[in-house]
Amino acid sequence: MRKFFFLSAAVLFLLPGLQGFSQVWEVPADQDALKNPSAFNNENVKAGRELYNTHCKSCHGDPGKNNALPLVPPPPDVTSEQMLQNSEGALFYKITTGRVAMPAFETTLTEEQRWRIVSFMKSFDPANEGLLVKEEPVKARLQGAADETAKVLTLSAQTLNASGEWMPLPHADLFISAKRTFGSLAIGQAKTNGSGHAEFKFPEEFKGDWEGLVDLRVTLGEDFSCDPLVMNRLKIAAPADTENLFADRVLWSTNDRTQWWLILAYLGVVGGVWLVIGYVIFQILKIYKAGKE
Amino acid sequence: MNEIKSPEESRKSLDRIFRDLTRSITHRDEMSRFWLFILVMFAIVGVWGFIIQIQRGLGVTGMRDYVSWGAYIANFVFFVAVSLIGFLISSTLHLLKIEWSKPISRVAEQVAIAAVAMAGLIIVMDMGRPDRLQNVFLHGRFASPILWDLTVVTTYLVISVLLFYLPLIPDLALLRDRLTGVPEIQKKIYTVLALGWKGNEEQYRLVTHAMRILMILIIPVGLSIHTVTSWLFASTLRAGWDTTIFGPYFVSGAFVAGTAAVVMVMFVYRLRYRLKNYFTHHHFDMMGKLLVFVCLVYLYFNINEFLVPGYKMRLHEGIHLRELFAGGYSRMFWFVQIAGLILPIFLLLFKYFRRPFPMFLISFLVLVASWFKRYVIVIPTMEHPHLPVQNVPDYFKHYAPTSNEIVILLFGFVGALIIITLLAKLFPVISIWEYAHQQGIDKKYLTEKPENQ
Repeated sequence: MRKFFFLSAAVLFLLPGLQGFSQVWEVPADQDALKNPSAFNNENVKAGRELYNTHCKSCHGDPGKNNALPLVPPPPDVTSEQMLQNSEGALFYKITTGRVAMPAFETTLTEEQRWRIVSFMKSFDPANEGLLVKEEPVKARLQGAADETAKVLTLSAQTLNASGEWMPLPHADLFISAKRTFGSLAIGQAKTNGSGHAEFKFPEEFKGDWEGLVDLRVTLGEDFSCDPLVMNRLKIAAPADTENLFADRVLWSTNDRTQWWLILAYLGVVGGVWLVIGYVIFQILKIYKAGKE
Repeated sequence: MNEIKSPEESRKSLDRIFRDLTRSITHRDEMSRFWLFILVMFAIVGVWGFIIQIQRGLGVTGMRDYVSWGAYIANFVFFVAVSLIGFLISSTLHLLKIEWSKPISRVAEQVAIAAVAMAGLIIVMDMGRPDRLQNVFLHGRFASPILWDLTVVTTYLVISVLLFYLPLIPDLALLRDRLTGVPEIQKKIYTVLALGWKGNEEQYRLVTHAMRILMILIIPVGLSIHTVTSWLFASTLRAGWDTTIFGPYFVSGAFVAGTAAVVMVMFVYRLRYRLKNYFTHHHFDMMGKLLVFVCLVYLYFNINEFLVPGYKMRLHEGIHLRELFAGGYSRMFWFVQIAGLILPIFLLLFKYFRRPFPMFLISFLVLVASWFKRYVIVIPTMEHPHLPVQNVPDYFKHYAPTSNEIVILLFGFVGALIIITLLAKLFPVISIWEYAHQQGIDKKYLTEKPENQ
């Protein structure tokens, strides 16, 4: 009986310690039961998405792309099972308090903002499918020009209104990226002003090819159906300081830059061997001649 | 060398030797016709496969963007390896004055010529556009091992042919003078090739002199042919190829494959042309010891090649080695190491296994393992490039030869066998005059016209 008591005491003593190591993030029952006070609609979800992109994406990655940072414990993708099994209240609690590498957003974001992020996250829940009115992407187009000396992109966005006329698109996010060998590299964002215009200052240190040429793409967010604006071979980036590996007389260089010693060695050895072969063939001729005598 | 024989004895003995050693030329039966028929049929199928490959391109093979060197290159390396035996037996052992190797040197040269000729042809068959072969010479890079390889393969072929031909001249005169029952055209060929051989002192002196030069010349050329072949691999940064011992590793491996090939050809000649008194138990015994020796040298290089990087398992090298030791290629890898090295070394230590027939079986095993050894050297490395493999269909990632490719691969073997068969059907497989000389028959009896003619 004493033994049992001692063991139970030990277990009880160790339990809180173990909890610190566990992967389970405990949420108090009253918090877990909380309901989202803001309405689940497009407007709130969209606002939540913007907040997510600013505050959460850097660690959790793009929704559905599983490109979160490799932290311990790993930040789950917002579309993952692990994330979606949380109740609204649990998500709100976790955003508010934070844990380990995840900061607490209690002071950074207002309660309303945090609930909007929850709305955005819950928009990936299959249970909520159909609750949101699916918005047709708005037709839009992009135009732009580049000032290569000032390193400035002048962009403008327009949208089609109900009567089929192109109208300036105000306050829209433009995403600028550069084409790289294995995909595109995001450079930055710009926002159109009230008259649908935007300016983007190209970063000074961004490197293009060895001439400083770069292929750019400008896109609108996913709410718009819009062909990307492609601007190829802009001389706007800093030239890449690639070393020309073929400039010297090195073993791997082109034929006109072969090292002299190599050419001489090759020709010398091959010439020598074939001279000897020629001598042997000459001996064979001599055998023929010796037979005639 | 045996004691000098009396004139009567010499003539009788020479007649017997001549009869025995020309049996390969005069002996014609259903079996040899059937053998040639089979070879030609396979060769035709191979040519047919090659025509398909020319028409449709290299897409008919299993090679894709990543594995661009497939079984063709493994086959090429195998044949270059086998060809090296010519320089080991007919030059190195000859210069070391090792008596038992002399009757074997012509077999070794036959194997060398056949193998190196096929090696050259296989490279052409591996080209997507063989009609642009001349560009390798016109626009070749002096710094490229591929140009060196092309140079050295052609040079080695020429030297091997000369080294086959020179000691053949006195035999050709014998064939011209004594051989009966062959077509007129064949006699004409002998007459032309014999270069009006009379067997005077000057001619013998010239033959010995020229042979000596070639035997010395073939040593650096023979060593470089396989060293340069190894540089095709070792001059890259790829895992499994990026090693400094690749040259000697390939050369020692070549001796293993070549010795096995020569033993097999010797055994077949002994059986088919009834040459029991010429390729004796002693010869097989010595070849067995030679095989153990070259296997031990090769084992030494294998241990170096795998133990040292295996100790470190550095990044890409580690992935490659894991694939060989325990991954997808482990069965093939352990087969070539055990059946191609450990087992022959162990078995051939016993005199029982150094008899002709067991030697034949062991050599066959060694030769098969040698081929797969080249496969294991070439393909696993190609399947692990340094840049990421992405956005490609699954069949780009793994390599297996297609049936069309296998038909062309077989052409290499069939072609080599056709060359060896034709050489055996045209010329004696053992040098008659050298053998007669060894038996104590004076040179003057060689040029005598036999009485019955």
